[in-house]
Amino acid sequence: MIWSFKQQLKYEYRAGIKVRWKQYMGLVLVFFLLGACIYHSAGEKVAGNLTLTDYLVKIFSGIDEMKKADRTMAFYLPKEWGVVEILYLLFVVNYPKSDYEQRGYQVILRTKSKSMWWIGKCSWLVMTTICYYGIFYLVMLVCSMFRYQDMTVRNVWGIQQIILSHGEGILSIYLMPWITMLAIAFVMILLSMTFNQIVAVSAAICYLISAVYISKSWLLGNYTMLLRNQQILGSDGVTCRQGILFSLGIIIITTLVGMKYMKNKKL
Amino acid sequence: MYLEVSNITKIIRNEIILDDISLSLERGKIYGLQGKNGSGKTMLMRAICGLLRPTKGNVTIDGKRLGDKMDFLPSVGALIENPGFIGQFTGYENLKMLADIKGLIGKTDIQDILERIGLENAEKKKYKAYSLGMKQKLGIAAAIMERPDVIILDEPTNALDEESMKNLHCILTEYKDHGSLILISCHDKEELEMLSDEIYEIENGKIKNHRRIQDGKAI
Repeated sequence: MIWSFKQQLKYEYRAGIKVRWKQYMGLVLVFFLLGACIYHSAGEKVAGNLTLTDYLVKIFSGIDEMKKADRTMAFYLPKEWGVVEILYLLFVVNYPKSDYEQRGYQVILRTKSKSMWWIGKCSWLVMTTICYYGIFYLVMLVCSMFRYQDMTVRNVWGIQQIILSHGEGILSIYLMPWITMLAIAFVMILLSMTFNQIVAVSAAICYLISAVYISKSWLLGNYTMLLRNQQILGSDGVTCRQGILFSLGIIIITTLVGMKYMKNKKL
Repeated sequence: MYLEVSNITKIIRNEIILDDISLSLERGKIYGLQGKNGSGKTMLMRAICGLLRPTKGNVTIDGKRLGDKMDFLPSVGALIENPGFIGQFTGYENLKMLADIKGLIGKTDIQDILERIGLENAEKKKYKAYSLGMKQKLGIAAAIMERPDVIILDEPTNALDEESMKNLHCILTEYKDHGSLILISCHDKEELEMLSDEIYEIENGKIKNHRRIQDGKAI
């Protein structure tokens, strides 16, 4: 079983990551463009001194919850947040289903396990997420010229001052953006196996964007927005601890459900 | 018998795809499945591999039933419908990626099979640049390269010219002589009679006829 998993993992790396190196280069370009946009949106006095934290706060601030009274206002999606998170969903949605349809049976006949195939895809998703967000953070670090500062001090962007405790701040901008998106992506790829990639990514994007309107703990998008944190929003807000537990729970459940589903699926 | 298919029935959305099919297959023979498009040939091959769970019936290999302690045939190579490979990889890289899963063969074996199947000049060519016939050959190569005990080829002669078909016949005969059980499907009667030792005719999910072949003719 362990041998089989190692071989599956090797396959996933070659077929699902190594072969997409051009797309990863494209990500580097997109994130640098994003960094340039953020640089230009900062005032002249500040632009040259932006730190990594400033860039990440700009991207992951999110917006205040759209209250009922604001429903006449035009819909607004935080652009930088949308670019990073929606692009991630588009980046990962295609591979599992297309691999299944094209080469799936060749791999399964060799590993002798449909469940192992699914575990391989889950592992691929984790590896890809780490690569995607790894590239993102690295590019932002370069854009900031390797400058770093704690979150609690500055208010560069003219929005509500974000003051979080040190631990909550670190988790909010370095862990929550990708662990919650990973959980959403797990459900998305299971949906793509059941239906198709278009249905799956549409559902995932709608679910993600609904968090812009509503601050609820069961909408995972809230955990990727600093302004939804309980330390800022009060009891209506969310905490990183909640987000981590929810995300891990969804990942585990989806993995198990997917294994059961694949075992019975006709190839 | 090495491989027994016993009363296999498959129903999908109230439609009977396979209807009480039984086959007895021995090692060291080439069996043909002949039938029109939609007759159930591919579904039957999937059921034999273990890629499809039948509604009723079972597949037994060497006395062991699929679905008991094993879900798939222990040693099988298959080409079912379209061969699917990675376009950005060469033919060699695609085969290497699959071969590394079981680790039974190395670089030399893969190069040998590419040469035997007629792809020696295309080894370093990316798969997306292959013609239809080349893609089919690569699919066949993937199915046979690890010398499995059971080889299942669904319409392997699609897009192959006459010379390639004769070459395929030589390769399959060699594998047969080494003890492999080979099951191939085709809708062309003459092509199948050239390749097979026995032929099962399948129509609307049922076995309609069974005949033995000698020197390319039914006996």
